[in-house]
Amino acid sequence: MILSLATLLIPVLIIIAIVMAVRSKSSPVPGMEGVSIARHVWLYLLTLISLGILAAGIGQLLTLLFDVTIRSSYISSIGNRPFDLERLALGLAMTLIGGPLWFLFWNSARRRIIQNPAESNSIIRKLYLSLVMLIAALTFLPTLSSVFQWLLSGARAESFSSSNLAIVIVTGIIWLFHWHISKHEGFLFPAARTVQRWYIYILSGFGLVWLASGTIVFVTVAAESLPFWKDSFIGSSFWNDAAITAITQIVLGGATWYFHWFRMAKTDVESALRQVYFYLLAITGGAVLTLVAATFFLYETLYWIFGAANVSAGEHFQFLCWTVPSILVGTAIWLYHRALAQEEAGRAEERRESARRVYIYLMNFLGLGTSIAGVVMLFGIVLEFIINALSTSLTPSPGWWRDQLAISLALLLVGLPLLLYYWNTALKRARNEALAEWRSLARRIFLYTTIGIAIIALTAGLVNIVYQVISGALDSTSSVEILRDSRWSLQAILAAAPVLIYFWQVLKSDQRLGSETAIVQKEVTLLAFDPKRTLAQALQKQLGYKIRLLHLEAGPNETAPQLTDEGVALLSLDIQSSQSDKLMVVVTGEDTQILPYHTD
Amino acid sequence: METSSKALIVFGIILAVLVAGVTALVFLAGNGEVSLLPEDSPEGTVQRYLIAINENRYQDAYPYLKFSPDDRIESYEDWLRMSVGWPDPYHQRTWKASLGETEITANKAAVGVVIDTFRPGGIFEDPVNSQNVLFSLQQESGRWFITSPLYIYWIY
Repeated sequence: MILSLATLLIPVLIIIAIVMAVRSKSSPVPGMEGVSIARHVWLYLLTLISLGILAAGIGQLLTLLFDVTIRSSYISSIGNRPFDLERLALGLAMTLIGGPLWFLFWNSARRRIIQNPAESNSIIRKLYLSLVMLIAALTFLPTLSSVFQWLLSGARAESFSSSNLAIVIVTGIIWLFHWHISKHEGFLFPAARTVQRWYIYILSGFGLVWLASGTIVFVTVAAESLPFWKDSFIGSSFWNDAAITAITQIVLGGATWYFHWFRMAKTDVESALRQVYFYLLAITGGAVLTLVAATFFLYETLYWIFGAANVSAGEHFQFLCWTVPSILVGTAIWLYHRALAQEEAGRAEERRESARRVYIYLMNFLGLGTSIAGVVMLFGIVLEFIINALSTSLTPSPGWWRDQLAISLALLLVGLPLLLYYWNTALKRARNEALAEWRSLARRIFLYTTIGIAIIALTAGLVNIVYQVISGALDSTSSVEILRDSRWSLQAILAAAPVLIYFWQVLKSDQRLGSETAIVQKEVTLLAFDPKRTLAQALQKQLGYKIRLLHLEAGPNETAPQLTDEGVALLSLDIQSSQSDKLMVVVTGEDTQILPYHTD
Repeated sequence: METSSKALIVFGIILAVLVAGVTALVFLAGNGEVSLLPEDSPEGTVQRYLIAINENRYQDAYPYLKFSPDDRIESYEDWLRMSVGWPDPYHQRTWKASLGETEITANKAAVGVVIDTFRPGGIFEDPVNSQNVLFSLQQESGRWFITSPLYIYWIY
């Protein structure tokens, strides 16, 4: 499937390669100044396509080899000969065309590097190497997993797949070959490192997901086969397909994650992509997994406590088999990456702030969504009680509320602590970071999305209620029926209204403080004795854009300027109110000077 | 000579050996004749039916099938027209079938068959389409008849 996608990706790759090459023109690799970008793109694109054809051809020949030597010896097959001849023809055609072409293009690239070693650092070459490694790895791992599963299932002759073994060999060799070249050449320049990072973090994420899902499934299957469930599970022997798949995923996912995360990404603390991996994949993914499993755990437990379950304990508590490992694995992923991200925060630059903001507002969104769902359910129970009390036509079954109350409390117990903690964190950041926080895209997206959803819920709810009232009046429907038909709309309105009022006020407050006023960005240079960049960072936060810091040479007794928050705020106002676009801010001891200048 | 040049030469030699070896193996591996299974067994019946289809001997394949009245097929011509369509050799695909496990319960049986059809598409697509087909059989007067599938859709 991945190889099929590669066909569709070719036009996209051409565009990416050209864009990256044009962008890298502004900061060319030393020694690459005279090299034609178009020729470079052309050369590596043809190398990539010819490598794909060669790999597919060798794959066909190897499949045929295993079919003839292994499969045909024990499987009664019909129509082998014409089938094998057709496969041989296709394999030979692809190998005999793809092979020489790949040799030609790859050797051409190699000769150019021998003539000009700087070309080994070109962004196009690094993109080619990383892309080939990525496609090879993402084809190799699932296929190797199938081979492992076949081995663990007893290596039955009739289920042997020649093509899987061939794909494992071909993609394994391609990956090793290109990894060896990448390692030998290194990634010296920032753009090249960015390309390599995409490969590293995609594979790290892939390995982590496999490791986590394999562990959860394995523990679930093991727990389901424990003797105390008695006959609750039908046909639950431990050694089944699910357990075999889980073991394969644990081994391969663990090895992939270890290699890419602990070896290749070990020293890469400066990268923004690492923050995306931390906050958007690992931490958010771990948190969502934990929340879903915890909500289900609480719901089923409360359901049992309320006496609503009509089955035996063994049958009811089957959910423990998957919720407990999911909570443990999700929490482990969440806490490990959170701790590592915080540890690295002290060493890296401020650009990670945006990723952290995204995380905080994502958590707020998750907490708010879960809590609102709980509140809606709770209102539903209250309204149902009222409707049942007013209604004379229908008698509800006893204990109808238990299921709804269990799910409502579970959602609130999970969502509210999350919302309170992370919204409090967001409020603290808004106080400390001021304009930088109010203006942040993550905060504004969170506020606008929340308000937007609340408005839609309110409008839809009101429209339905008005419709039900008018329709009921015209049809002479009883008021209880109208209330029953408007129940979900009322629930939505009751939950959405306070959310809209509160977050509308927050948004208005942010707007009053200048979150959406266009900032005239000036070219500000700060000259100060500020070795820890404390003053520079405080000023940047107030201004809402980056400034340049020149370090003032000072004597041994010189201390960093101690400007209060008000002092920094006043300095920021003076800078913004200045007529000039270029300003030199000199801070020595208590004295502050703002000097406008211009360049020739 | 550089290490990278040596690696390319070694790779080229391995490739040449693979091409020559596989080609020789396919031509030397025999003419593809299959040893026949007992005719009075379900797998023997399915095997003979598939061999007849594979060799375009539809008239020989027809007696292995048993139709229910709902199928509205009363003759060989009906079967060709209604179930198969008139076989067109120019649009047929190359295919092979591998017999799997057989399960027999009283006078009914099921034979698992993996059918690989060669359908080359894009250059990076797998040219082989594999499908597991379960043949159902019924025993009458000591002989096994195929009751499903009655279509031979995999040849196109």
